[in-house]
Amino acid sequence: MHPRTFLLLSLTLVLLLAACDSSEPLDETTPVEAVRVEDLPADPTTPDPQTGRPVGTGRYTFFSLRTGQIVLRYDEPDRSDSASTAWDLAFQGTNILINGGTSGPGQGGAVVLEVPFEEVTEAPTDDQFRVDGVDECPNGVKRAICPGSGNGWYNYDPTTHIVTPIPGRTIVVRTADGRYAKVRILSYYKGAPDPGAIDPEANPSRYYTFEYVFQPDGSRRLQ
Amino acid sequence: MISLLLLLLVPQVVLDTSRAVPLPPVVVTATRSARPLTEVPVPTQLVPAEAIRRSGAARLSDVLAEQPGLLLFEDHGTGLMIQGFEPDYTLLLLDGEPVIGRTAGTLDLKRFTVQGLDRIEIVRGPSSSLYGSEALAGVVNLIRRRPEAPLAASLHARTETHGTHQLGTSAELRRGRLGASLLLDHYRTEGYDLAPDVFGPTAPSLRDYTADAYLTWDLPRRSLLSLAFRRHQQQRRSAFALEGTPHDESYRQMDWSLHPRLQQQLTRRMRLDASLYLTGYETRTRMTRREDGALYYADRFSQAYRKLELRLQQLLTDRQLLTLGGGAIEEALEGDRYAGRVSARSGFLFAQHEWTPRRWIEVVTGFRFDAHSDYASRLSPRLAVLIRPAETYRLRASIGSGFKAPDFRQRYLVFTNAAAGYSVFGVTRFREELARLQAEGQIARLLIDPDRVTTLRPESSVAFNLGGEATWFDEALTLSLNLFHNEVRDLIDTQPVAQKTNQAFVYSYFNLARIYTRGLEATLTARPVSALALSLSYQYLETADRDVLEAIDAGRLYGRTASGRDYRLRRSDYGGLFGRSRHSGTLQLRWQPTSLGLTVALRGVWRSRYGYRDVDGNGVPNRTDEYVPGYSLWHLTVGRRLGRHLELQGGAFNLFDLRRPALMPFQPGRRWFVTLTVHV
Repeated sequence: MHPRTFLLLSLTLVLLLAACDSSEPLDETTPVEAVRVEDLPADPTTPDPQTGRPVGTGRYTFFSLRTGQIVLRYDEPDRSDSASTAWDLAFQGTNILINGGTSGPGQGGAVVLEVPFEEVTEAPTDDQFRVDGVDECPNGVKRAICPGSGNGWYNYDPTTHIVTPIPGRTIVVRTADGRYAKVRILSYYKGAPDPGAIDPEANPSRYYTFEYVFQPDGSRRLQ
Repeated sequence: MISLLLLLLVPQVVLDTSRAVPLPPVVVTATRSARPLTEVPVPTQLVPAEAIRRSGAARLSDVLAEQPGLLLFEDHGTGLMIQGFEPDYTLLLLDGEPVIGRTAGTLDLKRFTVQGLDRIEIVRGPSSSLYGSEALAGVVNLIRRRPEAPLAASLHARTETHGTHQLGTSAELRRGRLGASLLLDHYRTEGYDLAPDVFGPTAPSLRDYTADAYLTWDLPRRSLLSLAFRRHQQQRRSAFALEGTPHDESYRQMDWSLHPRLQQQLTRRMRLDASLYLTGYETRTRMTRREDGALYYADRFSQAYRKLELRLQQLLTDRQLLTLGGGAIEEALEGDRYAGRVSARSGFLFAQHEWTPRRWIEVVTGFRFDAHSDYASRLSPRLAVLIRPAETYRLRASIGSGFKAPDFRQRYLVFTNAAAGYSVFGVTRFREELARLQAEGQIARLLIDPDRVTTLRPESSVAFNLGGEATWFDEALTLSLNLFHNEVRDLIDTQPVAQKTNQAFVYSYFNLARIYTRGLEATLTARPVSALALSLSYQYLETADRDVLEAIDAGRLYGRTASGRDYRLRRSDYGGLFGRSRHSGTLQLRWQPTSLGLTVALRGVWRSRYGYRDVDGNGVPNRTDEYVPGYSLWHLTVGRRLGRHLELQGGAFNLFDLRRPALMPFQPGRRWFVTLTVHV
């Protein structure tokens, strides 16, 4: 091909793309669609054969917000994938880890905003993001998403022993590769029952139902 | 007789003998001096023996439930809610001395028979300036009947729905200066089952026994020596299923008290009241597997309380009465949840000055200082004013401070939940128990600096009460009003301090929350004809957690609708503290047609909805499904005397059979009853 022709073609292509941009700008087309994940098992308990006490394995289920898939289940004995950047959030009981700091090799971080999910239109600046093993919680633990009732995403009722996601809280996550997503936890019980009608038999705990919006283009826009 | 003598001591009472008007009843709880009910400077209610008898109630809970401004609060027993406070904040007295034996803060009112009482006095608003701890919301004083009759005895038999029976006998004797009375009361019920598809009864079957003896000896110079003794015992049997396996539960509770007291006139103007009060309480719980009797859970608890108190009342010139008092308390407890035996001592001093500078005004000031070995000392002042602009009007204003000492759990608990693995330690035991867990390698990490677990401050309040009453048509119509505001701080709650290697938490107690309760109490009493008496009452109540209000104002608190939408809460969405109805009221109608010889008593209790759970995870009631809907209960009792010795009474509690098994398991529905009393 003649270099001029190539230049012309390239220019046309660039113009074409630019034209596309103006009609359907790339940085605004992206996510808007919320993804819903149902009944992600976060180390559900089984009764100990000797004491009858419910026990878990203590292992996490790793999830990728980028692919919307579980990377490694809590009951998978081979834990090699846990040290990778393939996952963004890890769930075990009420604990949620991010892929960064002491929890993983990625660039992950998180911040729990007291703003409803729909109203979070943009990820906060990086100085507001917290990292596991670095940022201290009200109860002294160093976690991005603080454990403990009222500290992070849930409230625990000591009389009914029920864990309920706190309404109006949104977890903004920085993924292992440095992109952004917002997450809203909907239920901690299998089948995501109405929190007023949880049946311990039919709705065992440690099953997450949540929705999230992931921004693949690397911008902070979350709408 | 004694109350009349005290009346002479109290300068502000004007005994007007020119008018043939019966003297108003005398009360002793509000100021610890005898005063006519209409002349107390703080809101006080009186339930005389006649009203107790007319209601047909067997237990204290049924009597108090229908009184104006009082609501019941169910939490590990049936407790009393005054001015929007949970039962822990009301002091219950028996002849002026504190009754012990609370479970999770509730003193179960079903424990008390109403037989043998002369009256119940209820003081609203804080009285810690006289009584110390627990007298934050109010004081309920059960006053025994004094033996007056030369010889009298009665037998009392009662039967009620759900296999409930009561059999009681009382006798009194008076010979010269000596008086004696004895009461025996047996109460039993088979319990009830509101959910037959669930294994085990809703309410247990129980057997309850009370014995009460009271001896009085009139001494020269208007002095009195008395000795009171009470023993009460209750056994409950119940059953429950644990993961499908039937288990039996048995519960035994015993309490006793001994109360020698000397009221001695020292000079014409000075009186000494010396009182020794010894009381004990113990419980035993056992849960066993039904098929083989294997022990699943057992718990023992025992508590002892000893108190010595001296009180001096001096009549000063210019219509002033000065009360000075002091004493010492020793408490001990032992239980499986307290890892052995613990004891504590405390001392207190109080002073009160009652003054009538003019005929139309009375001023009562007082304070009490409590020093305790396990928590911070506390000074509780109170100022109360009574104004009589005219014979038929009374205005009352008071400002006072109330407190509630950290309870045993908060101070001494050593408890680990075997099933869930978490531990809770009271503040005095925390260091030692944490060190033990650390030595055993059970602690994974500390969540906060353990030095922050330190001496607790008592929960304390500042309260205002403003009200009064007016009477018209020669006391045929009376209206009383009271506005109240209680501002409470340092409420004690648990907070995790460390996390164990099993991931469960170790909790201890901290002074955390701030709340307020405020509202209006109004009672209208009418007696259009002598055979008819009507009383209507209404209470408006607002309660809130100050931290919740802050979060709402900052826009940080949200609700979640059933469809999953989050919305920002406004103040109007917040239903206040759980278990509190914004509106409530009572109706009491008494009809005594002389021609028929009947006594008819109709009572109604109404309350608006109240929050009982959190569904959407914000910790406060805001959604409709987080409330128990409002309701009313109606009770009817009809009584008739049959000749000189017999009295027959019958009726029903919860006449319209209101039942809500899931929301109100403590409400068994309609209860018919018949009572026969024989007087000799």
